[in-house]
Amino acid sequence: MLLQTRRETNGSAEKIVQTTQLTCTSKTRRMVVMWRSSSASDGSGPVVVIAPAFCRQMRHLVALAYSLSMNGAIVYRFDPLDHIGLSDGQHRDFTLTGALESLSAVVDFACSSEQRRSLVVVGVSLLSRVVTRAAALDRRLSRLIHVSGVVDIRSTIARATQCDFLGMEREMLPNTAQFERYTIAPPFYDDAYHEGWTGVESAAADLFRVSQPVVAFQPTADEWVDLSLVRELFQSRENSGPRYLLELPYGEHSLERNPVGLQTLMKHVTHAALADDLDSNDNFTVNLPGFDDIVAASLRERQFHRDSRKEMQTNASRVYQSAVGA
Amino acid sequence: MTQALSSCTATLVNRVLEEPSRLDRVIFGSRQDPFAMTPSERDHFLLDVVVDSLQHHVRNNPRVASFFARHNFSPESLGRLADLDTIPLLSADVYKRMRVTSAADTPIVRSFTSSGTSGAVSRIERDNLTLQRLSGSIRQAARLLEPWVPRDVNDEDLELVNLGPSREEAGEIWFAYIMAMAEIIAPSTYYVSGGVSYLEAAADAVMERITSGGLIGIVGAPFLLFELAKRFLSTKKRPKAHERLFVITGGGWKRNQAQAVVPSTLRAMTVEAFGLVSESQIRDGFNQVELNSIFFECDYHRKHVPPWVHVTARHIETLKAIPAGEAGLMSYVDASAMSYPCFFIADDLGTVSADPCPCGRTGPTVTYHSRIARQQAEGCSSKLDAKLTDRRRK
Repeated sequence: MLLQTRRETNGSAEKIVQTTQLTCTSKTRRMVVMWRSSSASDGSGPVVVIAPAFCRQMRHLVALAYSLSMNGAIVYRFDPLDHIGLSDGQHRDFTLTGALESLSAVVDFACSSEQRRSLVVVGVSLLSRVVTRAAALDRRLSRLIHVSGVVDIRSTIARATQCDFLGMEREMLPNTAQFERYTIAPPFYDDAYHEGWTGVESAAADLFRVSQPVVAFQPTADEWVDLSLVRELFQSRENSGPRYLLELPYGEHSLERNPVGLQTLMKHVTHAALADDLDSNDNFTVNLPGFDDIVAASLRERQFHRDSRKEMQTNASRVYQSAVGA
Repeated sequence: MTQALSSCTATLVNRVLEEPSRLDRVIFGSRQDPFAMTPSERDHFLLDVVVDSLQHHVRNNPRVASFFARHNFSPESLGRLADLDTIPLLSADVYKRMRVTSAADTPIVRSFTSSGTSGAVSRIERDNLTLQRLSGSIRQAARLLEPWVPRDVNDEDLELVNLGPSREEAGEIWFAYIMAMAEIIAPSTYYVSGGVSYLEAAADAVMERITSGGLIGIVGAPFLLFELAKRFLSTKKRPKAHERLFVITGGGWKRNQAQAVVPSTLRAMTVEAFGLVSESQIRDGFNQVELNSIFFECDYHRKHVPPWVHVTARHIETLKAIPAGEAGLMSYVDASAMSYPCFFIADDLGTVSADPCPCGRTGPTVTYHSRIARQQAEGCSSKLDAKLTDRRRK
């Protein structure tokens, strides 16, 4: 399938962002579905992998994906295993270890397919914990970006669900806790304790082991994440690599409904992902998709997702293109 | 703020990124309900954002600067809420006669026109921030539609039947564009194509969705809803939607004014036609191309004005602000528009109410009565022009 929209933007050049649906196989032989977006004709741009927030799908990353790809990056997004979206598994079986398995499969695929030895990885919200642990284990992840990164999983889940799910005794656990319309279930609990995901200490241990640069974008009044904890961790001398904490003066954990906040985030994430040197103030111009471009792209990706879901049985390769003002 | 720490192995750079404006904090904020500000908070906020907005237009639009200078008006002179009625206003005709832009440095994303119901069309140019704020205004106003339009509704749980054209087909026509903005909330199917309305297909889609058990929204102009409701009422095969359907109308009756029924009649018809449980499931919204915000009805079918817009009714002859509760020509100062000056007297007759709404929200509500006839509107515009000329001479 090919979708293409052309639009003149005051005579300036337009960029064609092409998105292709791909699949890879995880180490437990399950299918992870990815979208690869790119506007570079020669395929020479840096590769960026984005992990979506909990209970969000890769289509919800359209603004970041477009901003990055319009500026030359090759962007991979994926739906984690046992999560909402197109990859294998049911959401009630979701675990952070399963998300780590999904990310590892995507990183392997992207490095092999794009013939790269390193790439940038972006983790949104809860999945920032996953990208951090992945980076501690895999030096191919040369730079990390956290967006509204979660530090204390137990506290964030308690705030978001009004239920201290991870603070309960195992035998007292409810069948599920509700987050928006989705559930957090016992497999998540068991994995969080068995694999050491819960607790600030475990977040600190993972972060401190990462010698690669980590750039965190954190809303200053995030209702689900304690900013002072993020500052504390990022300021710690136990860190083994450079840390950059960029505070966004917007109140919400999720910036997807705040187009002005999102625009600031797109600009700075793109810069953080593509700048040669994070310490230099090289102010290269970041081209951003406009509001209308993002609206149009979001609607196209929603349809792309729906069509994909219907046609998953055929496992057909799917592509669409859209043109956005540059 | 930049703070750099160095250690043997790690560096930290801690920096606070761009602060949003006071207006953007409210328009795009999710925690504070703009319709729940205390009257005092609301007054201070409105005054501040209007002053900021007018200063922006003076800085970026030489015509506005000279217009204000001719009227010996300065945004800095606004010290109290009552002073907002002293702001010199443009005639809505200005947008029909000339290009009016305050976007000195920012590119125009899209240009929109009015539907041309009364002949000449207004042309309004919007930049990125102005369009973003419009979308923020829609999201905030959608709070008034709860619980029928759930705030965090998942776009996989809801389908919209849009009785108008798609955004692409709407092109520059503002009314169709803004109705199609509902597609951001949920997937939409459009039932005007090539200028032809396919109401039969829309009726089938409603029946199918209700039968399949999903949530459905109908979006369209009142005259199209009227036609669709009549269609169901003329048959025995009607949907029994109960709580699973909501209706949003907007745009008025346009060229179908002769068939117009009063809103309460349309709501009663709609409840019966679709098998709804409450008239509260049907809400009307008001907007016009020159205005950058939308006013939705609450449960009590009162249209609430957001706190970044100042609305006053004006005497049809003298154009002076008249007390709340009296009908007059509607005038607006909308602080959310950046790319064009949004302070004008419109062609609509309406009433601004300062009475507390039973829904508990603060701020004024508005009721629209009719659009004044073209000839009358031209008369008013001439009077406005004459009045402005007189002021200039003084």
